Amino acid sequence: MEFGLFSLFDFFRDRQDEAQYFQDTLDICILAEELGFDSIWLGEEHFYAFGICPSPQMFLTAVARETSRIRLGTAISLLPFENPLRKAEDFAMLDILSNGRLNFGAGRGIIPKHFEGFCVDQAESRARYEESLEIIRRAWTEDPFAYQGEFWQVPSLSVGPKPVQQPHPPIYRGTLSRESFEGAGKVGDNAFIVPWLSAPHPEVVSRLQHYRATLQEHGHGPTRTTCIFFLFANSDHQEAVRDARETTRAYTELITSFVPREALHQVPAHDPMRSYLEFILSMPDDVEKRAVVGTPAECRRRLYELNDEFGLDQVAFYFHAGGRDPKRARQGLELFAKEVMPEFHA
Amino acid sequence: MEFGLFSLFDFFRDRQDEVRYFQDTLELSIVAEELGFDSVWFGEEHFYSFGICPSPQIFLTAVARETSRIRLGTAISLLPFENPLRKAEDFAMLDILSNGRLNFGVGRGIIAKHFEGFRVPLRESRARYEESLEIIRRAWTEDPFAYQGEFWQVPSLSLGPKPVQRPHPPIYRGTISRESFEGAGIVGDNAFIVPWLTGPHRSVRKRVQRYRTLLEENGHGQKRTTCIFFLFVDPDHNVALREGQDVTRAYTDLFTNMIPAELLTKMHTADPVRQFIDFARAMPDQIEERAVVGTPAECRRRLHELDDEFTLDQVAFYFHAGARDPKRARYGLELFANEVIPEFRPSL
Repeated sequence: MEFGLFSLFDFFRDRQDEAQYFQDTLDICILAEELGFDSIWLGEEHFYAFGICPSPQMFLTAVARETSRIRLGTAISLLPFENPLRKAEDFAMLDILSNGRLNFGAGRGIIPKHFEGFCVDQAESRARYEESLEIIRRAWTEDPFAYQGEFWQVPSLSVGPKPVQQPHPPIYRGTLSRESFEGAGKVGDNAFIVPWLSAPHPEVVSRLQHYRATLQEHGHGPTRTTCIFFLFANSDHQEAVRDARETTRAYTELITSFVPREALHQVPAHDPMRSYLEFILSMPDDVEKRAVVGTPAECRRRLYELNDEFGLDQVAFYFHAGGRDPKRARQGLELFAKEVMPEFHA
Repeated sequence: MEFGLFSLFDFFRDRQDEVRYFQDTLELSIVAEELGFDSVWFGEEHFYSFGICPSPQIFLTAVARETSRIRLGTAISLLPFENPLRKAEDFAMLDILSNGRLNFGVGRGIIAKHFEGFRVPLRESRARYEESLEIIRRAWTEDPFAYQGEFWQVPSLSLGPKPVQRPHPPIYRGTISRESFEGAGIVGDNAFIVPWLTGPHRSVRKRVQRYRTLLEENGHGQKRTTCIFFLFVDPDHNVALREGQDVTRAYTDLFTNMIPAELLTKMHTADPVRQFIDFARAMPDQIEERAVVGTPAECRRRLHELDDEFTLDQVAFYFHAGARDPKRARYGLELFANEVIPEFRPSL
């Protein structure tokens, strides 16, 4: 089992400072490598929709030059908004400047404000995503190549520079829905598992099993999965639970704030959007079931349980989400690295 | 007078290695800071048309984390090809990750292959550039803002993160033609001067004077200019000269190969494109008049002459262009730093 960190740079404009936030995040990424974590996964967000990292490739380039071993991932880079040639170029540069440490996680985006800001029709998100991913893959591996799509046309050209990893950096698909797991299984791409945000665990396990069965049906070899959890490790169980409730409450309120509460209450109770938002907002109350919370001994036990459920490969943790004090994040990671990680790093 | 380095990442696919090239350029940027240079300036190129740095903002982020003082500039970031909100975001991040060291140099692009690859009509380049620059400036300074343009529409939104430098990072306009100098003078932006690529020094000087006059007429304060030269310094005058000729020949060949030879020979000698190419190609034979070449003493003298001609503010040098050996580049920079720079620095 490998361990990593995850962040969407969720940002509270009323009480956080941008430059400080970037510095704290960078410091913790450097610490993560020192503590023996294996990977970092950062998201892309725009227009203060809720995160403040519009270009994880830029931030990961900074991390690349401050570290030497840790893998650098996106979770996820949003593909519908810009010419995929630009993404292919940016991420090839990151792969070079990190000496081949890129994990390229990609997705279609879900936040309406992003689509409005970039003047892209959200109804096109899936088709744009698929087309873009195809162009990026070909830009990295074919020289020259051309492409005639519905959204992008590429005349015969060569994209440079080329990534270091051959044939190309590992591709991870943003997978929440059953369809997206199925899509990743068919083409043989790696996947993410985000149980707390997707559905109750039995349903997530069923999607994951379907992904693995689809991989096999299509003759693909083993792929990687990155499973994302909240982590609150503390020598005091009560303290961990309190931290977990506060942090996930702040976080879930921020990420659902694009739907005004009055509007939510007017939506019929059986509406899928309403039940999904309610599932997210129930996180603080269910935190012991949906996160890794407690003393080091409890965290070890919990990881064994989760491993039985999902077959864990790479696990990545939120660390300073929800306006959490970076000092607290640092202490939690140090405790985890010292007292939990060794048990799983045979 | 301040000194910097400049590169378009010009790349020879038949004899250079990409990873090595990035590493060499990064190392030389670090050496530049150690030697007391004040800035680096990198260009944007796509599709192996000539350079291999499609995102100077990513490369400069790497330099930012390996240095602490040197200013980080683009020369230039090309604005017609992508949504300007993405540029505003990227360069704000660079400004944060470098602790406020960004010099944002921008231009409209000129290479046909870029426009073909991104499916943008070349004739729209200037209008797209102006619109894009306006959007970036507003995205950095107004919160929220909205924009209705011919090429881009922005609904009311706030762009983040914001750059560290206030009100925004210094903007430098790519200035080669007379019109572009006039544009920069009217709005009060900083400018580039690239004599060897622009025209005979006399005509370049006129454009720069016109720029400075317009700045004054329009009530703008003092602006910065970055003047770009080739630099070949060696204790042996003849070695410097020979190297200068070899390197600029390789460079101008690569650069002018974008226009097929048969197309060029069919062009009238008065065609501006033909004139531009012919002028660039004459560089190796005119190197002593158009570059800084020679012994340290000769370089000092030459810089005083150029200062009289252009009133130099920031000077940036090509260092490993034309597939020049990075070791030679490094040697030249060390010699220049030790024996030329001190003459132009107020003594402490």
